[in-house]
Amino acid sequence: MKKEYASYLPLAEDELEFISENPIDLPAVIAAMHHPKAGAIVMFSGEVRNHSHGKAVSHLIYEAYVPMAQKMIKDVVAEAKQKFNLHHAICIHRIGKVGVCETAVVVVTASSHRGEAYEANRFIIEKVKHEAPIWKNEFFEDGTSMWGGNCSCH
Amino acid sequence: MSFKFKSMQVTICVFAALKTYFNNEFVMEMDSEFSITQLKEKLIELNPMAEPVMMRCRFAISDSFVSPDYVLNHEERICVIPPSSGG
Repeated sequence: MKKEYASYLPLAEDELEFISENPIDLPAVIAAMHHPKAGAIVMFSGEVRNHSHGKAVSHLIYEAYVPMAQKMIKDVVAEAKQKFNLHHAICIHRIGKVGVCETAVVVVTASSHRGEAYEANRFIIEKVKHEAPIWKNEFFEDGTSMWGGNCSCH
Repeated sequence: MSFKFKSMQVTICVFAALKTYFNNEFVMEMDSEFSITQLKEKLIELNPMAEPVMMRCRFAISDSFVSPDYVLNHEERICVIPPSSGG
C-alpha cells in the first residue's frame, strides 16, 4: 500500500509518520514539499548498496523501536525547521526488508535559499543516523547476516 | 533472623544485535534499588557474550533515555538500546 504523501504533509505534526513499513515514493514526497516561499528543495535518499564489508549484499532488514524513533525524528525535524528557517522538512525511515537500490531513508528540506536547505538536510540525516533507535541487519548473498552498529559516536 | 531486602521484578526489552543473546522481552528479579550500571553488569553476567554490544548500549524508560546512575526503585519496563545503525 502506497502512502499518499501529497495529502499527507499538510497534516498536523502530531499525525505525521516518520517511520514507514511501506516503500518510499520519492517523487510523491518531493511533490508534497513545494512551498511558495521556497527557492530551494534538497532531497537526500539513503539507499541500500549491493556491497558492504567486502561482501555482496542481497538486502537489509531495518528494525526500530518505533515509539522512540518516531518521537526522535519528529524532534530533529522540528529542531532543524527552527534552526535553519525551513518552510518544510520531512524525514521518513523505512523498517522491514529493503532491497538494493531502494530508499532506506529520505530527508527533504525546503528553504528560501539553497544554503539552509543543504545544511539542514545534512543536520537531520546525521542526527537520525546516529541517535534514532533504528538498526540495520545486513543480509549477504552468501547467506550470512550481520547487525550494524559500527558507529563509534557513543 | 536476617533482614532481607524486598526484591522486585523488572521487564527488559532488547533490540537488534542483543536479540542474539537474550529473549526480546524478559523479566528479571532485582534488588529493591539498583542503578542502570548495576543492571548492565547483571545483564552481562547473564550472558557474557553480550558484553561488547552491551557496553555501548543506552537504556530507556518510558521512551526516554536515562543516565547510567539513574536508580530504579519500582517495577519498570526498561529498554536496552544498542548503538544506532539507521540510514
